Amino acid sequence: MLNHFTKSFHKNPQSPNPSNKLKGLTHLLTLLSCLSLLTHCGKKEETAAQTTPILIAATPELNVLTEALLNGELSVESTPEESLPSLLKEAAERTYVLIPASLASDNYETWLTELLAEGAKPLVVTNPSSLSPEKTLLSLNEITKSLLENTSVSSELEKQSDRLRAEIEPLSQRWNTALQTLPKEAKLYTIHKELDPLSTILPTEFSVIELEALAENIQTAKTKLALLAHEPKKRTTIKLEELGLSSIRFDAGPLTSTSALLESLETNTTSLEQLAKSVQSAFAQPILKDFEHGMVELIENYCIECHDEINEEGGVNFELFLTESSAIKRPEFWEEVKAQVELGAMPPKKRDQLTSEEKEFFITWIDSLSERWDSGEFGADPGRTTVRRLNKNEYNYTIRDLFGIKIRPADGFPEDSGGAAGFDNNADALFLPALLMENYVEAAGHIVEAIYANREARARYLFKRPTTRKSEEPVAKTVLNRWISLAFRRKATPEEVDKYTAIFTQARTKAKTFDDAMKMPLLGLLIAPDFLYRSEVEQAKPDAYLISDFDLASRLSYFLWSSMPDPELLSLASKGELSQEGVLEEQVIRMLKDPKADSLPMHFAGQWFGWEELRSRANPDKDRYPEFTFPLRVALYKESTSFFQHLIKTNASAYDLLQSDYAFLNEKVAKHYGIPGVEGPEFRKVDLLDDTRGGVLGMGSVLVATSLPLRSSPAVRGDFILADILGTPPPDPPMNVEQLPADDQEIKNQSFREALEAHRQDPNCKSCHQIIDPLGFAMEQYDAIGRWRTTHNGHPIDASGQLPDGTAISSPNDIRNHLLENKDLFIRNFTEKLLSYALGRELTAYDRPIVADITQKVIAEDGNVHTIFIEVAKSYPFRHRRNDDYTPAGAITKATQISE
Amino acid sequence: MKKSWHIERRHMLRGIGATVALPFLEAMMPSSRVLAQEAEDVAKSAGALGAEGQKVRFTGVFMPNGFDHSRFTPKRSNLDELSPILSPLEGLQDYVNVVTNMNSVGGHALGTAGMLTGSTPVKTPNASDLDVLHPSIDQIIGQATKHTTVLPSLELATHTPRSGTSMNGFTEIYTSFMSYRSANTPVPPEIDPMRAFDRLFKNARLSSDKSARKKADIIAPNKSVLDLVLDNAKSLQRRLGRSDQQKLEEYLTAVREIEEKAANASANNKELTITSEVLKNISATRRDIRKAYGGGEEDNIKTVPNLSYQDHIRLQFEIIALALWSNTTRSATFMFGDGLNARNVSFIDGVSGNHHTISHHGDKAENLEIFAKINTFFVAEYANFLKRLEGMKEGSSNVLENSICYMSSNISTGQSHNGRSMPAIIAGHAGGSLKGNRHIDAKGAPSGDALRSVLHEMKVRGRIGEGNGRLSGLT
Repeated sequence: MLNHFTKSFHKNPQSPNPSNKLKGLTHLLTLLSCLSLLTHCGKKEETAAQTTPILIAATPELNVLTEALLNGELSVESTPEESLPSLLKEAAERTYVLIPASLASDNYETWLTELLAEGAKPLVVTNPSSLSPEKTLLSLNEITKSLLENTSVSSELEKQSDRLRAEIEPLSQRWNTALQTLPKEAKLYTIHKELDPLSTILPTEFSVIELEALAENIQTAKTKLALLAHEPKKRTTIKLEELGLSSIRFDAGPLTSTSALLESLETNTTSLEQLAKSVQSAFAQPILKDFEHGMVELIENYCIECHDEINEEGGVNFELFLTESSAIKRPEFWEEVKAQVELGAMPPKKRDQLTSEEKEFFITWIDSLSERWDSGEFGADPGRTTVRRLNKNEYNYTIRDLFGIKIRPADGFPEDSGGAAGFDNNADALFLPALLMENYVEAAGHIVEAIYANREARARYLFKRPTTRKSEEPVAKTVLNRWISLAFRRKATPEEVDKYTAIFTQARTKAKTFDDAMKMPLLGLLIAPDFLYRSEVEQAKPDAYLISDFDLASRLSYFLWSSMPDPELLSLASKGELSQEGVLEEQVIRMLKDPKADSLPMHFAGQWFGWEELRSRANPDKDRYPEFTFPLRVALYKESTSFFQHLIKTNASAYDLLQSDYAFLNEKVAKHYGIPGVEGPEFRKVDLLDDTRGGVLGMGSVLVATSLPLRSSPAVRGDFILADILGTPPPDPPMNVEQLPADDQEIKNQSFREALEAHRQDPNCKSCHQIIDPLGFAMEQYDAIGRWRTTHNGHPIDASGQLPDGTAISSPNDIRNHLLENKDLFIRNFTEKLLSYALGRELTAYDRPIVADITQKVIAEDGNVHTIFIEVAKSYPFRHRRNDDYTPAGAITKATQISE
Repeated sequence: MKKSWHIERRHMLRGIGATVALPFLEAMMPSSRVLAQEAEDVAKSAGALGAEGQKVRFTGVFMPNGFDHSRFTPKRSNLDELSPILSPLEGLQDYVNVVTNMNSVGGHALGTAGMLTGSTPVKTPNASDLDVLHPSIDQIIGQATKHTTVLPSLELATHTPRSGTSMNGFTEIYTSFMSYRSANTPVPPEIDPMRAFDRLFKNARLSSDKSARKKADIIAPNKSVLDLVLDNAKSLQRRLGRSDQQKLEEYLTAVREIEEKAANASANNKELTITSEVLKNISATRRDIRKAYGGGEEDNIKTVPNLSYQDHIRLQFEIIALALWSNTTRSATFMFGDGLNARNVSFIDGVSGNHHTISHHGDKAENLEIFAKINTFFVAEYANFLKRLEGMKEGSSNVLENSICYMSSNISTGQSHNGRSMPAIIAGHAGGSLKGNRHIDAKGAPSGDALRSVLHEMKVRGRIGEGNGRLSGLT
């Protein structure tokens, strides 16, 4: 072995030069790594006695010295030729070996390996820079001498080496740890050389590892790593070139001192750690493009048996989503699936369960899909609301504002249904059956009579009167021009004016007076589709486009007032100024302050939080709850509308809906709540003196709407909080679930709560109910008509529970505080609801980035109510529309597509 | 054919005036006599006729949440011995066929929308994708027979429609409506008995009634106006996008129907059968309705009439009965509630709670017993309706003789939520061709078979429901 050493020296008796130095350093570094690897995973028996290897520092002087030694220019004790080798050998045998910065030796590693295998210990030699060559030589002599004599010099060196060793030890450990964190599937090979698998990781030929390349190419690398990770387990190695990493560089500065070397080592260790981390996370993270490998396998193993096209349990069919292109279109579907899997509700307990890695992969994939949608990666689409019939309320308010009469003809119309978000202004849910058309015709007749019976309204309609018989037709034209424009909410076309005037002319042949003849065209206006429906100008463009100012005026007024635009809006629209940013914001604020915005507390908030139900479905049992009189019903309804109205009028924070230290009460409601000192029928702001009330959860109307006729319902209330306040609905219950008795007075010996809990022992029920029930139980201190109670059926109420994150709750106030910790969810939900209401359609995945953006802005403004309305009015879907043939990935600019 | 009652009627009607139903149309279209004649000619053989030429009429009744089968299913193949839930039908067995074991779609939402179509609606949470595949049977019958009557169809109910998405992710529109004019357009029912009554019988009074109707003083659109708005709609259709076409098509259809009804205005007198007997009953019902409403509450925020559930049901059934007796329509439907029916039914003896919750009986004996009481209540209301029809004389028979009524549910038996083993209670002799006093086990045949049998009895053609034969044993 020493011969190798000797040989190598003889082979390259070069004088040191910079490139050689560099190479040498590299070699040393490599050496270090090899050493550490060897120690770590090498031949255990032989190296058992090894301590942690120590860095060899190279010194130019040492090179010179060694060479001089070898060249016989120096002498030690014996002749160089013969005795140096043996000297060195002896030194080696005594476990020290001097390793100079020998260069360019192919067998260098082998020699060292062999040396080490024989129990040699490398020696740290610091740079005696203060020494002159002669002195260095001398020190070498001394070193050698002491080596032989085992003197204190060696212990000095030993100390130095110990110190270095101590500094390098942690680096070495980090090195090893970094190696260990690499997934076992990923053992990197160098491009140029395949070393012994145990000693892989770093290239030997390379002088450089490029971390920048890593950062830039990480996505590619991740993709490929993941692909490889999911292949059947044939492969155990990956080549760097397969990762797309073409070159790697270690940061190597001039290593003239151990500190520099240490620094370099530090950097290199860090580089390795980062590399290992990236590789590790690349293996852990599912790649979206790789849906078809990872997700599909899991679906096929755990889901498809029950949820395929044939069985479609629970209405869920995964066969629709087995390709990436179909799957990524439905983030909301995956979010529902995630909720089931996360809670452990699916797969059902009696079936195979996902391992924790599989579950994490599954959920991470879904989360990353949601994030991608939220970031707007899939393109923009402002959506397209179908032509929208005025609903009942809008009809009434529009008539009120158009003519100034107090008639409410739509009260007799059939109720409108609603869309998925729960609002009755959803265009697709508004139908026009024969019955309703009859109602419109009849109502139109009544309205015309009412206008004519009211002097002001009549004068407003017939604002111009003819003086002669001949002037009648031109006057009719002028009058009808204005009224068509008002009724149709846009400028009348000349053809329309002519047609309606012709109706007048024809009617005039039979009518006794001008006024009488003007009834018929008015009637026509009131049943015309341009009045009954809100349509928007469809521009012949393949891209999305800004809606016209008149269309914007209508959208704004029906959004904030459920009624037609007023003169100010129409004037701004006709001047083309409405869509200017400052103007739009100003108008929104003006409109929110107008009394017409009372439609929002009634129709928007009422349908969102449920107090709308007091107007129809909510019916506490008359015998069980005789206190729930009709006047109380009305009062509780008005409490809620007054509260929401206050938020809008004063631009308060939306968080007051979650928790407030005030409520809007009148005498009747206050009595119902047991709050003293409130007199009179008007509603006014009252400071709450305890925490039994506050926010929407303290409102009687909401509490009634979330109860059954004979009892309160913890499940309904828990679901309400999760779904309607936080926007995180629990999974749907299985179809054939048995409910608790409808009447809680029937459960004799248990408290209702005990009965509820016994009912839910089934683990299939528990997985979802563990998030629903604690909320519902904590609300039990409110009875089915919203009164506060501490006992029920003779049992004290146990409202205590624990949320999934461990938070203990035991009262509605605890829930309210919990809600305040989830402001982001609440604001997101508020935004979704408001956007759906404003647009009159259900939201799609393309609305997600809009919602995310608005949510962020509103939270930054501390939940300020005006901000939400303004941001919705300024949002992309509210200001734009597109046609049926639009595709979101971008504009189709073929000229041939324009037209028809 | 002897039409003695026709002659009697004509005398009466001269005192009443031209139009009984849809009074606001009275002012419309005197010039549509030509149309009326055409309509009359076309109408001659539309729909089945009874022995004396009476027009056979259809009624569909929806009861939510299914039955307790153990107390429903008759033991034998006839109805001599009635099961507990069917006991209110005592005395009517001759008119009744009880069908059990049909296969239907099931579910609160899909089952409701599918009861009168026999098909599975497209599963969607969105109103925009609503699709029940084809019209429901009442609309098919209505459109086929509309020229022989005044209103093509009459839809009544007691509930306001739900909004949003059902618990299983389907649009609540399905849960709320069982009548569909086309695959994508539901027909919302009238839930206010007062309005329903006035729509049909506002001007129907005995000539001796001193508080005779005032002359119609509300203005109605003339033909030029209707042409103008139809034109407006067509040009809108051209201007707007594809997805708007359907909505505007609804408008066009609705306006044309108004025209049709007005055109029938003079023809419809020939079709009405309003004898003095009928009139007496109409007036009595008018008083009944006014009484049931009681005083209006101040500051009324409610969008539903202030009636007890029992009064509400009774009055709506009464109005349907009168509409059938007077031949104001030949196709009527009634929904006891929506597909969930979370209504408080504690007024039923031995029951405490709401219908939906109780229907989740868990197959437990004590729960089923209570659930069965609710079933019996609804069957009793249906039986009252049938008895009423039986008591309405026409010629030498009665309305029930010349009717076919179909009552079924969306869910077979609450708990399960599925549509398997679905029963139906069919009543009436359909003009004489349908026998009664039978219990027919459908053995899993699709409910579409039963609906096809109904169409057969009505002599109306139309495609409906899954499967393709008629229910064997029934027709």
